Amino acid sequence: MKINTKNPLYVVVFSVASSIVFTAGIMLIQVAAQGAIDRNQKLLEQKALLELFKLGDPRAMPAREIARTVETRTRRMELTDPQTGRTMRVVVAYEGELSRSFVRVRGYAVPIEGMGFWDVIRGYIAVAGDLTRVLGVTFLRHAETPGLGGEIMNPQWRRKWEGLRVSPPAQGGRFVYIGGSAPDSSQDPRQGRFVEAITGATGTSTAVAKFVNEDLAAFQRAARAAGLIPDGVEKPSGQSAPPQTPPGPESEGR
Amino acid sequence: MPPDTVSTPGGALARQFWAENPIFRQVLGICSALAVTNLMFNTLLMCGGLIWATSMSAVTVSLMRRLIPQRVRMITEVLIIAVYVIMVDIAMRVFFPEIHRVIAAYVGLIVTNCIVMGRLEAYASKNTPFNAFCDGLGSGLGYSLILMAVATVREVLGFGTIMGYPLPARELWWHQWTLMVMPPGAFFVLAGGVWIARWFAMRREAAAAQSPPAPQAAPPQQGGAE
Repeated sequence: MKINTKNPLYVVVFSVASSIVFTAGIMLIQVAAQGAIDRNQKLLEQKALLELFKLGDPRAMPAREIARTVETRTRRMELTDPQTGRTMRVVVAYEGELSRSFVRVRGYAVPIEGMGFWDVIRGYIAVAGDLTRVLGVTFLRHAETPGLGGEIMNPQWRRKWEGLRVSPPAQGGRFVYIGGSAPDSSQDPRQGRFVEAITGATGTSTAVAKFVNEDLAAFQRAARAAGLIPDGVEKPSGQSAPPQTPPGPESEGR
Repeated sequence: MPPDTVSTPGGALARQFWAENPIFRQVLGICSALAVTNLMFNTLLMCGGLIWATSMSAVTVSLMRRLIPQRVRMITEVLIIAVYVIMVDIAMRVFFPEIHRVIAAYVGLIVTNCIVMGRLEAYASKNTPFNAFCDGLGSGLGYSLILMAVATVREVLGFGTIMGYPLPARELWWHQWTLMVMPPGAFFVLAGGVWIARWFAMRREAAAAQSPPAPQAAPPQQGGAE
């Protein structure tokens, strides 16, 4: 039987049928692989937290050890921004294992999310327990151009964030400045809050600065509303700040 | 490109691997060659993905060559390539999640890689499945050969490692050449490689032209940009 491949009806039927067959095949594979992909995603996040809070070297630890460290040293906490009503799931890291009765807070990992140059960027910025300085920044998901915007994952660039001053915010409620020229005078409001932008990726750098500032502002409002009292500050008597509570049901061990 | 007269599977493979090497001779697929070649292991995964995509989509297009209507042939080819590339993407998410984060964008770009599309159009859509498979495999291997060579140079000079293992006693003699880590490093390595390879090819052609009867020497290919 000879098929007339020029017949318009055949062209339509062929196009529709081949699309359905190939798409269905890919969907089946995707569904079958989803479990493993989710597990990998969780491990990536745990490694990112480990690195962010310097709880250990994720490259030198087996997956089980990474999971155990994250589960015993961190927990999740929901904070609500009173201004927008948005809740955020902050990860709190402790100086020791949570099973002990009193452990100091090492820091808070604040989720950051916003539109990058190409697609949504998602990650964490970690703030020290006294809420004054940045411990580090990490990005879990981005689709920026490798070598340009993709350099946000470059450890050398991320190291420039460590130690930035975030409290109190500079004028205009800004926390972090990303730009081309470093502050040159001590009067410059950007002093101690400046990260050099990535060469060739001004779009990505500007976008990151924008959503990090917004998310840090929301975190500051939420932390104040929740009464998070920084470590090392005298606490009102008889009142313990939420971070020092022992692990609740919200502990990472899911 | 000379007409596709090669009809044996081995001949198709060998021609795509060397004589018509997609990168040295045809200068195709350069964007991924520049981007992923600073670490050998990443390059290896990228090459594996490309070999899989070219050879399997060539087989599929060849099997369907009498069914695919002429009018929608290119979009069908893109669909088939996309299916195999998404398979690579899923496999990498499962087995190499961290490398996937680095090279995911380029794995996706295999869909529009001129090597794959070019072989499907020029060869697979007119030849039998096994020949098409070998042709695709040869192209993929030819691409991989050059990419791995570039990656070896860049990883050694840029990181002082081979496949992630440090070079012996590198503290004593090795000094990092940062340019090799960055994309421009690939320009220099690749261009140097093409220069050397073409110099050899031209010498051989000149030698062949001197000894009569002169075998038909193919005119030097004009490089098509990605």
